[in-house]
Amino acid sequence: MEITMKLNGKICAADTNDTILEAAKKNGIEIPSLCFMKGCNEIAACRMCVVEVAGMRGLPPACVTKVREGMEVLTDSPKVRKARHATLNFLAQHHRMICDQCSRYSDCEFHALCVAYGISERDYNPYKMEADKDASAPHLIRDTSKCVQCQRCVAACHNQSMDIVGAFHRGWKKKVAPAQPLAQTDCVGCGQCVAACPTGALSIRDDTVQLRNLIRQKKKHVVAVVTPAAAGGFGKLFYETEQKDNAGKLTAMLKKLGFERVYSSVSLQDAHLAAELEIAAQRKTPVISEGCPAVRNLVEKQYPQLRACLSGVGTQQAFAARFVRRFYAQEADIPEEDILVVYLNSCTAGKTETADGLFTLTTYELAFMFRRACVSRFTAMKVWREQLDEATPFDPLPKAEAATAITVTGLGAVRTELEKIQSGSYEGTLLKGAACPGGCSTGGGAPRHTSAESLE
Amino acid sequence: MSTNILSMLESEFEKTGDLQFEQLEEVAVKSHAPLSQVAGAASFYAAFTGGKMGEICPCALAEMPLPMENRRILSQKNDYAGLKAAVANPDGILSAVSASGLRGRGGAGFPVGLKWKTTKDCDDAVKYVVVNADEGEPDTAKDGVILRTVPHAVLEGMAICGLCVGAEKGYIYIRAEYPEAKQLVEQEIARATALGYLGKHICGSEFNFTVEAVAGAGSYVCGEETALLSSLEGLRGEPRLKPPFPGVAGLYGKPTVVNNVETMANVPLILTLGADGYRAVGTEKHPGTKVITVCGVEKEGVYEVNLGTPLRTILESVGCDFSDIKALQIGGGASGGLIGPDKLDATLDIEGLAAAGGALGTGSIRVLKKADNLVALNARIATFFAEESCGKCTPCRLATKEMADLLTTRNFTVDELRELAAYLTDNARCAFGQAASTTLLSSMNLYQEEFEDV
Repeated sequence: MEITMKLNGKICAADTNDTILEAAKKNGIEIPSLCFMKGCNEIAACRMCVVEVAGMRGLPPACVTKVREGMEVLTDSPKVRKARHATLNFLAQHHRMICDQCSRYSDCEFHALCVAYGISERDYNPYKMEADKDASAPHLIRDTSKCVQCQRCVAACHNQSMDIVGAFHRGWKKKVAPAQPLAQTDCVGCGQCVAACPTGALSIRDDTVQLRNLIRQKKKHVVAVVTPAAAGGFGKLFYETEQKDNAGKLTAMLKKLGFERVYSSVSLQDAHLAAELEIAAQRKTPVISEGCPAVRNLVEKQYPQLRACLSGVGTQQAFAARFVRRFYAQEADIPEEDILVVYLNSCTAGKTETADGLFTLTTYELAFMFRRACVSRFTAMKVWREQLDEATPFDPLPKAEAATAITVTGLGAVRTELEKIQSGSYEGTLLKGAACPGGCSTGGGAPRHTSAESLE
Repeated sequence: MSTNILSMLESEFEKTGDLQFEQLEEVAVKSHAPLSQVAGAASFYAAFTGGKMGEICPCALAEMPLPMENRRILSQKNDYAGLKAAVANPDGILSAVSASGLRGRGGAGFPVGLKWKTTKDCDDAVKYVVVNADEGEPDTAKDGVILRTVPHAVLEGMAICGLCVGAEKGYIYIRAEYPEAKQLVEQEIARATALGYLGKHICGSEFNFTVEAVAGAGSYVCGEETALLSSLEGLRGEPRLKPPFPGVAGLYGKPTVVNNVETMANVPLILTLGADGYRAVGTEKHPGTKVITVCGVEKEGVYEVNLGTPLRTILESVGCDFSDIKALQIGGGASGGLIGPDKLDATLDIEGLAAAGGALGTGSIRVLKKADNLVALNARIATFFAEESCGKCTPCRLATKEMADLLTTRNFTVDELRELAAYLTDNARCAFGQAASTTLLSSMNLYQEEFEDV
């Protein structure tokens, strides 16, 4: 039902189901938020989005307070700004604010808020604080000293039906973390927590220096395989639309970085699926696709009794590495062992896998690698724009016939299907799952939305 | 239904006096809950971390509350006469409770009839009645005394409530520091079940109602009704957002009536005396009697008085030295505000105390002597809040700690404290965080000079 209300003195229209945050957004007013994730983390804990409402005690949070007819809201009054400043001040005091050395430098949501409310790292002494790092896992690093306890990672993990991360202790000693060092938990590596984190508390393990050295040493022939998710995600960093085919620019750019060949993963994925479909046709029991490394990890860690159902074809990236090594070795007449295949995807789970001649890099890391090579993100933008679109796109690979299968996305949905297989009620022959809620393009290693904004 | 993670943790803890990681894993497997949830809950409660448990007000240990005239709640017989009357006319319960004007005795004073109606109006097949016996507020002992003196009245009230709203299951959440009260309640549950006042076909009717006593695990915040529900579900005792209110979506998401011990103990009286008989004492807006805890006087203890009694009358009868009163802290030792010695003629009821600038809260009165140091008192309270905060929202997690640090080190200005206190009141996520600065603000309003010269 439509209602009218006053936002900052202006009469505005809104819907009864709207929260103040949504109503403000509809009317062109941004209210800052930190812990809020629509439908996923509506806990009103950070108190960044507080507003003044006439007739209401205190400062209610805009993210969960519903609007009503005749409501009068001030979103940016001196009282509100003062409260937000105080909140950020408290968070900053307990945040190891070493921004220039942080993985989130230049695209940190928390830092952006601090800048907007006049909080400077100079006012604190972050160097006095100790890092509190959990670097046990191969895919991501948690540094609790940078955590602002928004609990977005907890919600993201819960949303994925994993519940690895939780809150511990209470009061000022409270901490958000897994119950054990991450490597010892059942974490499958989907990386949704990293994508959700507004600070540098969660970061993807940065393997770019290692890769740069491998390229520089020239002991190996380094080739790249680019997934559509990586190409699309990378393009977003440069304000390309999602439909834009970035193949040409990306290929030219990767070759500049020293990759000898750049292949598209599309035909490899088709071949991978075809191989799995063939196995499914042969077996009498349902086959679980190994394409997504996180889904395979889930089976290994939480459904060991279903191991026999795995296709045995390997993950898409391992399959691609095997195929490309053989292909390029023949083409260039070099030994297979000398070829290193870098699989570029928006996938953090890929980093948990080790296979011969395979190196996994996320889109997020690639963006950093590219920026560093171009010195700054501004020059990176310039280089990208000046790159010719028509430059040779991906290097050719043997064509594979297109194969299709219905993909179940999100670990919660995959879990439901796995349980069906377990109870014998699964009706299909092949379960193809993608761990991330919207498929690979929403992987934990995709550039975050905020990173694109900060490039401007 | 309830996997009861907290009681599983408790029995694991009792085995070794500690909780090892393997034990947490075992509880997680047994309860089918994620390890992070079990370990997160285990690290939350003082009973499992070896943290500081709540203090027990000495008044709770008094053998029997000292006699005073007009005892109604504390002198009820265990014949379940109220329940029998309710079973005879179940449709009349809600109108009687509403007409009696009974208001919640936990602190907020919400009309009980209205609360019950909300739950009664829900269509859900499963509903719950929960009694809040997590009396964590310092200087407050009345719920413990009620449970030990008239446990049957609380159970009777719960059964009447269940009959009224359509619930068949009740829980009493008793703070960990009152094991004896829990034992007495359990004995009374067994006795009442044997006599047919609880269990199946109560008093020969179609009504079934069972009650389970659950022990808390050492957390002040769990006295907040939604945090208490989280705790009952085996989660960390973090308050939930309202709306939805527990009356609509409470325990396990089902409509739940959450009432204080004393509120429930009042219910049988309404049924036996009738609404008018109940209203015979107390004030028009706040009828009935109130069980109060009085500290800092000669005869400290738990008393039952008529609502509307002047504070002076109460203090006269417990041996108060009127020449040495700095202030009265009313409503609780942690969240109760101070009123000056010029307000002794205020009456003890919600409206009377509000007019005097205070709040009834849990109904405790502490007389502060002239020699008492307000900075030290507030430092103690702020430290209490910093330790007990659930830590979910930024203001309560970090501003209470800041307040405790400033007051303990005596390194502050009055303006700083006022700003901090206002920030907490305006921004904290639940009533507990908002109340964390009540005592400090009222102290500064009464005796600002004590805070200027430290």
